[in-house]
Amino acid sequence: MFNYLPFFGLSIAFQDYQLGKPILSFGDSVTWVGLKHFRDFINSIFFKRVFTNTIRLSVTNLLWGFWVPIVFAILLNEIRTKWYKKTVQTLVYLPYFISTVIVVALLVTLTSPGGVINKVNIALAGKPINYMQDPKYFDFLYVASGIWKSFGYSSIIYLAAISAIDPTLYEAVTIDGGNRYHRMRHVTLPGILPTVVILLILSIGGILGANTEKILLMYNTATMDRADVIGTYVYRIGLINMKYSYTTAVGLFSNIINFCLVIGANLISRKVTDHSLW
Amino acid sequence: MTEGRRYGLKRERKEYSIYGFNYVDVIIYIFMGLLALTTVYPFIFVIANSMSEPLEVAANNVWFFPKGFSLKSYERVLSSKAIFRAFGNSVFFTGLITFLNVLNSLCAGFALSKKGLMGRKYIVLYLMIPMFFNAGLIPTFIMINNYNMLNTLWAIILPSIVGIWNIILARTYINNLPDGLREAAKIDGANDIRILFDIIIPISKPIIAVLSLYTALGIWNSWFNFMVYLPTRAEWHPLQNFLMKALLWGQMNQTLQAGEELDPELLKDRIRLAAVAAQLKYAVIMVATLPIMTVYPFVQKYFIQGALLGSLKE
Repeated sequence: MFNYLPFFGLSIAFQDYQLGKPILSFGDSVTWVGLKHFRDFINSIFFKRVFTNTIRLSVTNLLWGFWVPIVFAILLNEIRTKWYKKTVQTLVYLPYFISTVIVVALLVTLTSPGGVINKVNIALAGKPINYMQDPKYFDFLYVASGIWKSFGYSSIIYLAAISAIDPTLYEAVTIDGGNRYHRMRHVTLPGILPTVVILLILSIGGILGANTEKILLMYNTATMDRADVIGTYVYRIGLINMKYSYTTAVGLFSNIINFCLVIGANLISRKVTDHSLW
Repeated sequence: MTEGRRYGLKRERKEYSIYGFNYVDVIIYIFMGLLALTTVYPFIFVIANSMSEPLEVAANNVWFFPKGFSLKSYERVLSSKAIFRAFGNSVFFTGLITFLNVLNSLCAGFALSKKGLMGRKYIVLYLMIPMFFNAGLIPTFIMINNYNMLNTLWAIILPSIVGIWNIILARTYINNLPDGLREAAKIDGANDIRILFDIIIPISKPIIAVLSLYTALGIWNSWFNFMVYLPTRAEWHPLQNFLMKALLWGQMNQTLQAGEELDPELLKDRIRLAAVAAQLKYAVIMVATLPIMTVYPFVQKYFIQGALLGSLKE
């Protein structure tokens, strides 16, 4: 049964492990030195900042980003003009293809003091708001641009779940005198609930996964206090200031928490819905 | 059943599923239309700005329809050698890595789908662990450095060849193919290489399309790896890094140039020159997005399939 080919495939897979192995021993050597770096990090003034920012941004992102695709999918399901539905779908999927760099560039352009959004501000309030420089707006911009980019993509799974619902259920509700609200409430929503629960639980596992790359592009000295997350902190201190072992400890610390969250989320998911990643 | 009767049945069905068309429908239709418009608005904005008269753009007068018409900025962008190089790099990395990654995923997926493979369960487990627990940026960086791969193309290409999620998707797909195919080929004397390339790969086109699409999209849009692992080899940076420097870092330079005193005639030209410079970013964004937008309609089908496959990953 064994021949060259499986070995070829496996040896490449094996490469990944070899590439990964020194990483693990490096992590070990950090703990071997002692927990000094971990202690340093927990005692540093940055600890509170990066942790609260990471969690705040992820939770806000989850709270807002989670229901938008669901509502969108349910509403889209109410549209029965085929070409209209198709057009809307095609258009809202499009931003998913756009790179983070361009998303941020668009954000900067549209929210700049001379930009379109500030035209409205000037007309209404008389003066522009410098969104990118104001820490107050960072959360909003971060979350809103994230939703803009991916709500269409995220809605695909819900649309699939909705289309799997037996159409006779809708007919039954209608015959029983139910209106649109009843159909949504008693057929559509229960129909997609399992999907919703699974995705919600799994997304809790990613609560420490703020989008480092995007924040790196978005933040500046003015918004640093609200925008600095674990990932950007590790990048800045590790690669720019070259404090390697310290930031490795920081990264490991957050990865362990993250891993526990993923495991925990999976256990809950398996208990509640019989679905899990493994 | 006669034709007419069947038609009647269909009509009845349709009436149930239409439920009339009332004011709530109108609201939903309008709302969804507006939502779709909001989603594409930034694109409209960029397109309009990229082909308007530069002075109008610099004055922030363009917000939906182009004002005036000028392709000066495209001219400038397309005559830039740096952007051609960056574009070429993007195409090169995207093509090469996508090819290697998908090929590797198919090989590994094929291998892992073999029923008799020793320790298959453990190999899969071993592949999946890095999906949930990775060492992080700094150890990876140090390792790349220790292997003397920093600032070489290997640092970008080698780690990208193995996509664990892709391997698992390929394995699931190949697993679900009928066993008989493989058995029959075996009886006909084909070895595993022939089975993979002559039988499995030709019927795996849908999954190949999905994997290629997502891998290519990821690489086309990536910039962070290039910044970290090719810090001093800017000539190999792809389009996204170019955009980052031009769009997000470059704004400072424009403000630095302001405030010089010049004679009015030259100043007029200078303003125009600065206006073209301000417009450049829209043309650059267009150049970077157009390839994706032109491909998008053709790959939407696979995009949706991939979203369904991938939704449980996150």
